[in-house]
Amino acid sequence: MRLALALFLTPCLVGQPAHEDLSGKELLAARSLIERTSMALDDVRRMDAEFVQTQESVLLEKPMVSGGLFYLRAQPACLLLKFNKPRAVEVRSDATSHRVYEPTKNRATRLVFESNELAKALMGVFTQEINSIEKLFVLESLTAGKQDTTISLRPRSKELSGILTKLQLTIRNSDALVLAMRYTNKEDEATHLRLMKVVLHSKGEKLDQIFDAPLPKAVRIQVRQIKKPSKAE
Amino acid sequence: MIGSARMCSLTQILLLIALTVAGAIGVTRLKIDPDVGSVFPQDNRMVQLLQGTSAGQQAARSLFLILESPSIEEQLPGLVHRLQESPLVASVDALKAEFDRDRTAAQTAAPLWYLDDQALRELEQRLQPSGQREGIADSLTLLATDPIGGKQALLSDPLGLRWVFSDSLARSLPEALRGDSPYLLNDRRDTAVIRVMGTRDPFDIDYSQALLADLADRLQGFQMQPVGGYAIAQESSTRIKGDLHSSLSWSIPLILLFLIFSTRSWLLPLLILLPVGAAVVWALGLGSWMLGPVTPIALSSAAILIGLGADFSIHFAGRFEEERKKVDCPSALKTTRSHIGRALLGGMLTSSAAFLAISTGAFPGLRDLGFLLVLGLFFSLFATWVFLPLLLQGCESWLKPRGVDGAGLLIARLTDSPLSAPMALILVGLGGAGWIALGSGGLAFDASPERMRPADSAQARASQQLEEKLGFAPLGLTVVLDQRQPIEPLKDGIADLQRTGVIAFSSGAHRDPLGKTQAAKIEQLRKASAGWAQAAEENLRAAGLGPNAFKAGITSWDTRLSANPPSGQSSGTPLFRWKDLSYWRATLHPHATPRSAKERKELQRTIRGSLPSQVEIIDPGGLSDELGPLLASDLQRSLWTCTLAVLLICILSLKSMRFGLIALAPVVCGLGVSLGLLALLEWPLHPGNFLALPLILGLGVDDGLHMVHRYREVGRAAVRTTGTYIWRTTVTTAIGFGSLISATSPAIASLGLLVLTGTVICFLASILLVPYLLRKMTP
Repeated sequence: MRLALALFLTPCLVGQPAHEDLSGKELLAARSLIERTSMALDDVRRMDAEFVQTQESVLLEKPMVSGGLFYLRAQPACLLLKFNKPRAVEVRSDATSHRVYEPTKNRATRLVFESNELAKALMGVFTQEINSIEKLFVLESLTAGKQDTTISLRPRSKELSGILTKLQLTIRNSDALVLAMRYTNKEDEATHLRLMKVVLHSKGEKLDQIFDAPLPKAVRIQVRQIKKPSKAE
Repeated sequence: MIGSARMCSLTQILLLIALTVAGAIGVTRLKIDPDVGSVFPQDNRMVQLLQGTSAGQQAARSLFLILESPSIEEQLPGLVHRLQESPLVASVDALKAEFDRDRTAAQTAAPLWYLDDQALRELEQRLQPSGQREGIADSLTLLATDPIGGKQALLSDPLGLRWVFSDSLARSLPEALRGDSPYLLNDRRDTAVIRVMGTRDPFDIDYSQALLADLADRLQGFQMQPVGGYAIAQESSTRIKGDLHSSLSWSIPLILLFLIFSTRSWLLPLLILLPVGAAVVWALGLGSWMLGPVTPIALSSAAILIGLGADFSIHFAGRFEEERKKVDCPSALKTTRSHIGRALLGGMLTSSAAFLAISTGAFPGLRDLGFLLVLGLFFSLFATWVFLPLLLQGCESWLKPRGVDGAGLLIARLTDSPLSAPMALILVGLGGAGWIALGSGGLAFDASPERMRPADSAQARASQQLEEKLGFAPLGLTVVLDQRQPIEPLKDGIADLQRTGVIAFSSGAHRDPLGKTQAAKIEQLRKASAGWAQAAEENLRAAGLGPNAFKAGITSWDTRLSANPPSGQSSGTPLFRWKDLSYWRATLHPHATPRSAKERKELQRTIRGSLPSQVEIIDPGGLSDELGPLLASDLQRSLWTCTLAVLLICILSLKSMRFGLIALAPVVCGLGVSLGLLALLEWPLHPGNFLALPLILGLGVDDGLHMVHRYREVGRAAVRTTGTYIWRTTVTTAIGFGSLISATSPAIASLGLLVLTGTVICFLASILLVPYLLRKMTP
């Protein structure tokens, strides 16, 4: 009897996945929607869009709004945000680096990561990789609307929780495209990114090489290396 | 009687076994000290300065990597990280600022003092209320657009002051290090240069190879061209190994074939070579017990010992064969010993005297070499005297008496021919002309490492390519000046050198803008921006930002802007302390590294002409130029000492002044022609080929002594018998060293040519000139 109990409990305590906040029909609905999103992005090489970003900060009395053009390359994953509001700034992120280029100031800052966890997690949302999102996040809640559905997620790992505490995806019901993303850091500062006029480019299309274009000459660059936080941290 | 002989043989065998075991253990413990620095005299001022300033070590341990890839800039951070993880790497410099570490460190300690005029103006403007507002607006834009780094940038530097400092630092870098990337890239941005510092010196070949293999492994997928000491060490090691392999692969079989053909025995060549091999093992083994780790130069004694030691065995075995035809084995051995003992001892003593003279010099590496050679020669003689008779006795039944040697007959015919006298006189003429050429033209001694490798080696080309990319020589010359002297003349002199294009750029104390003028500018800036921190808080509040969050950032900047260099210190660059004195230190980078001693001398002369007379110039690449003349004078002194010793020993060995002088004829001709050839062709003597001299000296004296001893014993018949043994020693040495002539390393090729020339002339002089002189000068 004891042995049977032990055999029953062991997988429950050790081998079972962490507790899912969503369950039953809602969990199935969320997974089904994510699966549709993934399928919709299956053949996509690049996603272009216009975007508006709202940045909340404990430093600010009211959120700051910015916007511009959004480009996302599926493989190798790379995100390029060309801001035109409040002024021209280009932000480029990939798995190991993050560059902010200010053309009007003729300067750029490059952060070099051992691993750019935040960028990797966020870029995955807009690619076919979204079908494995549950490896990184727990599906927390689902709010289904007429036009779109919002799924809330919570990071599984401590490492990722140190960077963002919450992620919200708004997916259009008709074509399962992710149209908005809102994530919150550990200081409860939210960044809200909303996409408009989304254009998907399939793998066969010939496209401009916008992601790896070098910076113009005479741009001053500062480089900072960001080490992975140790386990103690 | 028979019992006592057996007892004696047993004692000898036990002694040989004990020696061989001790030698073998010693050889297994033999350690090579790869640090070439240990070869140099440690009390030499330039050696001490190089060690004190670490200039030598830094130059030796710098490895530049030229990396090519279409998107190299994006990949560099990851690459640098991968390289830094290597346990074989001390540091990696990829950012431009890292190439001038001293200045960067000094600038971090008192940043304001290192700003140029443009930066001071920009900073003053940025600290004014309007400038502050502009900076805050820029930082807010970053906060709005960059969720990853914007907030951190705003908190730590809300006014964006960091750009003023980084721009000023960029302007202070040499032209080639400027441009739009923090990395060292070419215009097409597909080639980058990074510097890797190793943890050990490149003389440690195993380490050099492991480091390069590790770097290649970590940089897989990139086209990499390493430039520097480690790559040179690997290239040289591969080339020298290849040279030796290709030379030994045919010279050793050829020597064995020659000995088999010449002695007409399969066994005798082995019996001749066994005592030599044993002597080398004993000498190296015992040498390692007594000396500890030996230098690579000292290790080359093995080749010389084989060349000289084989002489003893060849003469002994030849004479034994002769005697054996007349009497039984023990009697033949006894007669051989009694007849050639004096010549063998004389040969050993004269060569030892020459090597002892070398070992009394100032160079520790040569001391070890001389000691090992003397020890080896003693063992060679001992092995010939004790070991070879045992072998000959043991194998006596297999050694069948042979008829007259063909080579001996030919030599005798040549000596007896009417041509021998003119040929002898030609040899005298050649030797004399050689000494005259040497006396008038002189002999250059060039210890520069470039002599050791081909001028168009891959490393030479890569180094040139690197300098073209950078626009300057990455490893410069260091100049030091006593701190009690004013620094202004040094500053002016260096500025002159830069203006006239002698150097491309410089770094060091002279560039520290810590004078009174800079102090006045800083004072003015601080006055103009007094209270900037309070103003910043108000401006942040006005921009809708709570100032409390920015307190730490603003305080940190206030501390940095208030920092001054340590009181009393007039230079931010660390002073060089040496022998209780402090020195200003600067590094000068010419456009290209001088490739020869002549170019180095010219550059140093020009630099010295522009700088204060008290300045010391430390050129890591020019140590050989500094030590070359010292080594040359050491060798010159050794030459005189050993000439005297050799002359004395020859006279004592032959108990006659006249015969002693005649015995020296071969070595006088051999050395005269070899050295004269060097002088005529203007080839310098260098560490790679100077070993030819003791070898020619040892062989030449041996040849002369044996011939004179035998001539006095048997008259003209000596040419046929002893001439044959000299022929054998000459051919074996000539094949062994002559095979090196085709080596790709110029140093090894010139060693081969010198030894070949010297030994052939010594042989010809022994069979033509010595008999001629003996005929003329003896009744």
